[in-house]
Formats: sequence, C-alpha cells, structure tokens
Amino acid sequence: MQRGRKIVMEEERTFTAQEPMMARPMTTYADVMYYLHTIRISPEDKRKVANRLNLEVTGKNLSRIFERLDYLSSLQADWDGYGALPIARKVIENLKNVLLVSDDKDWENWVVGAEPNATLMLQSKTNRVSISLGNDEFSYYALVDGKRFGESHVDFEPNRFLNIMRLLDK
Amino acid sequence: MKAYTSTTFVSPDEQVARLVSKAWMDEGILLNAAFALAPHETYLSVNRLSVESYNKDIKTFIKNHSDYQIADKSDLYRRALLVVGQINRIEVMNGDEILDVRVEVEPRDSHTKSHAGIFVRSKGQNIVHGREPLSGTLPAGVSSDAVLQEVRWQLLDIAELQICKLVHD
Repeated sequence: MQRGRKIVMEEERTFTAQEPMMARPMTTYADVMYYLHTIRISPEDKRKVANRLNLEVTGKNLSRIFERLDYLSSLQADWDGYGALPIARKVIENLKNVLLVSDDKDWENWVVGAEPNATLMLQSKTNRVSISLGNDEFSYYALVDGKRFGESHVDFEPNRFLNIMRLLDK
Repeated sequence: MKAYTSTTFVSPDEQVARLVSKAWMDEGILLNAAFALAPHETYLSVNRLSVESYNKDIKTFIKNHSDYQIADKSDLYRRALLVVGQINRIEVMNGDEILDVRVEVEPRDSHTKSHAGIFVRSKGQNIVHGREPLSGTLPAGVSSDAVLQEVRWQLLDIAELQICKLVHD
C-alpha cells in the first residue's frame, strides 16, 4: 500500500493510507478483517499484506520491537517521576512506519527506550551509536574510532531513518 | 586534577544510584536514556547511598512510580550505581582537545535527604538539553546536546547495573 494514496471506503468516506488508525481505531481481529474486506485490494496486494503480517508476527526482531512499542506507548505522564512526558503518538507511529519498510534483520542490533521529552531512543547493542526520534525530526550520535559524528534536526521520513540505521549499524 | 574544595559537592568517595525505569531497559541492556535530561531539567536526579534515609526515600519513590519495579507489586528494582569520583573524572573531547566541561554531583535534599543531582557545566554554566549555552561557553560547532550525549554514554560506561530488593522497616 503506497503511503498517502487515497482509499475509497464502501461508505464513500475517504482516508489516506496513513490514517485509518486515527480515523477508526482497530483493536480486534474482527475489526481488522472487516476493514480489510471493505477496501479494494488486489489479490496480489492481499498476499503482500499477509506475508508482511506473517513476518511481523514470526520475525523475532520485528515482533520484539512492536511489543516494545506497545509498552512504551503505554507510559503515562510523569512516568519517570521527574515530569517526563508520555511518548507522543506521532513518534510511535513514525517508528511503526519505519518497521513497515524494514526487514527483521535491520533490528537485530537495536534496543529501544523512552526519553523524558516524549521521544524514542534507539541504541545499538554493538556500537556507540544512538538515534533519537521525535515528531517530525530525528538526530543521531556516533563515536567511531574516537571521532564523534552526528546530525540534529534531520527531517523524518521512514526510508531516510532506515538508511541511517543501516549505515550506523555497519 | 580537578579540585573539589566546596562543601556543596558530594564527596568523590560516595556512591550514588540512578533508579532504572523499565523504559530504559531492553533485552537486559541498560540504555543511556537512563541518563537523559528533560528539557526543563538542569541536573540528573540520583540518590546517595550513604545518607541514612536512602532506603526510605527510594521505597516511597518506587511505590509511586511502578515502572521502576521489575515486576508488578515486586520488591525488586534496578539501579545504576555510580561512584562520584568517576563521575567527576568524565571528560568530553572535541577532536584532540579536552573541553572545559565538568560533571559535578551536588546534594539536592530539599525534598528527600538522599536526593542529589549530577550537573554538567561549562565555565560555571549548566549545560541543558535543547538549549544552547551563552556564546563562548562551548567551542563553535559543539552543541549542548552533543556534550550531554557524550556524558550519557560515559555515565553508562561507569555505571554498575544492580538488581536490589527494597528494604522494609
């Protein structure tokens, strides 16, 4: 499903492909199946969706990160006892959008945590590398061979974020 | 060698604990997010083990913030133990140059007696997340956030992760 493509619903309401969760929360298997059967989707795309969902459930790393996001998205205001903000909904969705375009192995070396300013933080298990993800931007920091490099205020786009993850994970 | 002559600093021999939320542990790995400052914070909160009220202070805190319990209704919690002298020795490099950055631990006992703060300072000015210090405090091209990131990693390096049991009266 292409991002931003308009989908015509049976009841003639339209949503962009990014928005169904906002427009109609889907929390049960029946809801999801109903939704899938109300949109026009080719058999080939149905197979792609099925394969992707299968990967997200059986892929050890992808399923781990999705579960982690479920927990992190449940953090309430002042979760750290020092006034931390809950993780912004858009930040959670940003990382989910990265998950959708990534492979299971992309997450093998990453762990995910919360920062007090409503952002998520990815930390490499193997390198001195971290990425901070916000609503519209991300920043990264790395120390390689004693040299520090990084970038702040990078406009968020799922593939751009994924490319940086892959680059830093080498 | 840095001199600590002021009585406002916590002694380098002391140990302080940063309590660890589940949000900072993943796959059994402690994340450096445990040492992140919020935008409104000027210091990182820790508790001094040598202060008599330590157990009482953290018990109250953990009771009110369940994400610090290892499991629901558990008496177990995680802490990152830090030696103040090691914190004081943190140095931030910019290429081959050591920046004028000090990491200092001061008592902050107005709420609880064992509470203390880890401050990151340059030329006497607090380095705060998301806010650049006065011009000339840090060299051009070195941001507050870059300094704080480096300090986070170094705190992670020297921290000893422990699982502890709350002590009841």
